[in-house]
Amino acid sequence: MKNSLEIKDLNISLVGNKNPLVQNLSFDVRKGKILGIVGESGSGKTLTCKAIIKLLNEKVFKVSGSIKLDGNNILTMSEKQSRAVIGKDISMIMQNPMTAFNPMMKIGQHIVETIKAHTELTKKQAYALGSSALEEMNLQRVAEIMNSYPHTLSGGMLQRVMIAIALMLEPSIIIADEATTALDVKNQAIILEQFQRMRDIGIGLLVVTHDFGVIAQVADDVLVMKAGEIIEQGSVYQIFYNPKTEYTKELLQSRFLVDEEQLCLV
Amino acid sequence: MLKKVFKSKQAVAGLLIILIVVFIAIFAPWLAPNQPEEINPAKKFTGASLEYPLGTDQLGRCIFSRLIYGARYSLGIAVPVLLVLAVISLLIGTIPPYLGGRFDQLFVVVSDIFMSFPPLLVVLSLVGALGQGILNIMIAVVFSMWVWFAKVVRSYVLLERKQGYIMAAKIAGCSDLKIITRHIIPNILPALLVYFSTGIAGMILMISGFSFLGLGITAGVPEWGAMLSSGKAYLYSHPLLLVYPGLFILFTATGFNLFGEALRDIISPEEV
Amino acid sequence: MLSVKNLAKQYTCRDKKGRKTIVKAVDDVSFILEEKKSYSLVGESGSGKSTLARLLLYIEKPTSGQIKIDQLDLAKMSTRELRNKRADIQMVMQDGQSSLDPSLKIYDSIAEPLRNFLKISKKEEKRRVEALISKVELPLAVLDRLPHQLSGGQQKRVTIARAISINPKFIVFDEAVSGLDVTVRKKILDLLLRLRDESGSSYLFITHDIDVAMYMARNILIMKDGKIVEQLENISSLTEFKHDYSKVLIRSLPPRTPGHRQVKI
Repeated sequence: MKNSLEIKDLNISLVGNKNPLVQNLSFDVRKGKILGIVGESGSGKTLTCKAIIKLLNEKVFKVSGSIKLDGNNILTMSEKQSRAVIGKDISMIMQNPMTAFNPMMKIGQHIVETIKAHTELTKKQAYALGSSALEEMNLQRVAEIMNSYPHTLSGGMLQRVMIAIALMLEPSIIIADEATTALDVKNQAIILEQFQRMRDIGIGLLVVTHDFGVIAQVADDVLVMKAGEIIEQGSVYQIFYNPKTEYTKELLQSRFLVDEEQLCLV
Repeated sequence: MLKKVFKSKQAVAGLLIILIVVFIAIFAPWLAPNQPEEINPAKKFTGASLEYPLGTDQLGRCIFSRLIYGARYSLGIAVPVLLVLAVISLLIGTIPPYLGGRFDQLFVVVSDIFMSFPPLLVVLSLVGALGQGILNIMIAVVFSMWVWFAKVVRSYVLLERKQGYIMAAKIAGCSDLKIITRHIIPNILPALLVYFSTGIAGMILMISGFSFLGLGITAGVPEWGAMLSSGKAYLYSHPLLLVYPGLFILFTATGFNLFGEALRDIISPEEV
Repeated sequence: MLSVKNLAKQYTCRDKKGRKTIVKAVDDVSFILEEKKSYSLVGESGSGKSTLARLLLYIEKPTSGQIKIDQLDLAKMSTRELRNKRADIQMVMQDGQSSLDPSLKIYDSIAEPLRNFLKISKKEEKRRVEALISKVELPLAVLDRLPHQLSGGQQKRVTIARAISINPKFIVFDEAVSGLDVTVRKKILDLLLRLRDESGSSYLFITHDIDVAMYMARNILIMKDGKIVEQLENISSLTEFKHDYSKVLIRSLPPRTPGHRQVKI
């Protein structure tokens, strides 16, 4: 299978400060696979995501190494080239969907604008494409949603809308940064199911989370990060059944509190 | 916070200007070479000399001495008025929004009525009713301005009231009064300090403006605004009579504004 | 004993067209919390569990219904009596940072309930605050700091110290560990279990996570749309839940290992 997103020797530090925030990060996100990055706050996982979609302020952060999408290095691209790639080929789903939407714009307007920014479609075609994308996310009463403002929808619904928008442009890579953290278990399960569907249609996913439950449900391969470095990596089975570092063991033990027998008799 | 104030060049510059003006006001009798109100018709409109460093005005009074004593009037009116306004606005601006409901609605209605009259109009009619005099102009300014200050305090209280620690304080057994005095006021005070210190500059300009119009301060008092006013008749023949008090007003107002704006930059969180 | 009878809280909101609609945040809820027992209340966001917590503390007044602590009706108390009654029931809120006054040193934050509820000397106050901070396993040095200088886990420990300072009969934890890193969360939950056993207070954990709920208590209440839909005592396994909604919540839990992955929900 073809490597889709290759990250090599990624280093991030503050400008004028030698202490690295993220150190010697190398990993691949392959199409049709889900790579999970697990880490606690301060592990550098969000910084890594932001570096990939060039969201880090160049005056504040120094980024070195290479981030290649289908062989082209995003870091050395011109502003114009990278803007064409990011958003279309690489999409990002964020933790708090509420802040990602302009509160003054209806959902429909958001969708149409996003499509028109990246394609040649007319407004009407864009609207139709958006509606069908929402339907695919198992959302009910699509017309009503298209005509409502972000704050009137629940967090779980907004997150699904966001995923629908991310999927519309048929990206090859989707980065989900703590995308289910703010949601309750029911909505989390729905979103995770969508992640699996995306993988099945050949998209490569980078799922960043602090929750080993999410990893257990969807990931194929796992990286464990601590203080800006990868401390363990392997297939999801290796990590769960045969963790090598004490830190991974502690993370796993802390995540699941109640004994297995009590929980898994359902 | 104090450390940050001394690190900011703007704040230090503003503070320096304020200190200079305060110093001048306090030590005016020692700094002024002549009595500010001493009339000497024989020596009117003289140029700068050792005896009169900036010359004399149309009545032969020492301009330099009058400017120095003027600092006493500007600060002596603006600072007490501001302190009174601060106390009133903290008393009236905190309780209604904290309690909310009908009480707050009543406050909003009353303050909207007060705000619908321009301050100048209120001051004009009050000075007309109370008569001239420094105390009267101070009363008039407080009466016309309290509502603007109280509204600002109210808006800060409204923001602070929703914070989790207010609820936590209630759970910890604090009475409403204690919550206002121990939790809300200490947390909104930095922001209010900014507002008050830029408010002083406005107050100085306002009071000079009123005395320029002949409101409140009787003729002959060495107040900067009044000096401007009496100098305007000699705009073409002796323009310096206007320039000097104008510069002093500008200097003082700049000091307070610089300091206030620097404080605001220090207090408001930086954007990354 | 804390008893809640037919408790309800309604809010009037205006919808898009300006019509008044009534939202029943808490709807006819009744339960009893015994002393020296622990309870967990599980509900999704929007189920009314935080409103219920605020009602129990009587920070908000219920629209109807009754809350009694030791047979005394909170609704019949004067403001002052109510304030003193809070010595019996305390709460730890979700956000540690925002529930601490940013301008107060940690020492003063912890000492606040002591000063309000007990009349003790400065010396005794200092001794108690220092005992509390070591009880929640923080170094004495944090007492001189301000809330923003502490990590999320440390802030949480301070709010716990504050809640246990006056040995209340009941402590309500409203999503007290969500938003913390898992390793920190585990340590704080274990600390709470230890503190509970030492003090004999009754704890009510409000959470959206059944895993946390089961870890902290064996008496479980499930809340949905303002109502308690299921209430179980002394359970030992998730199979004991009978209500459909409880089963949906359990089925939505992420698997513990990739081997338990569910194909479709």
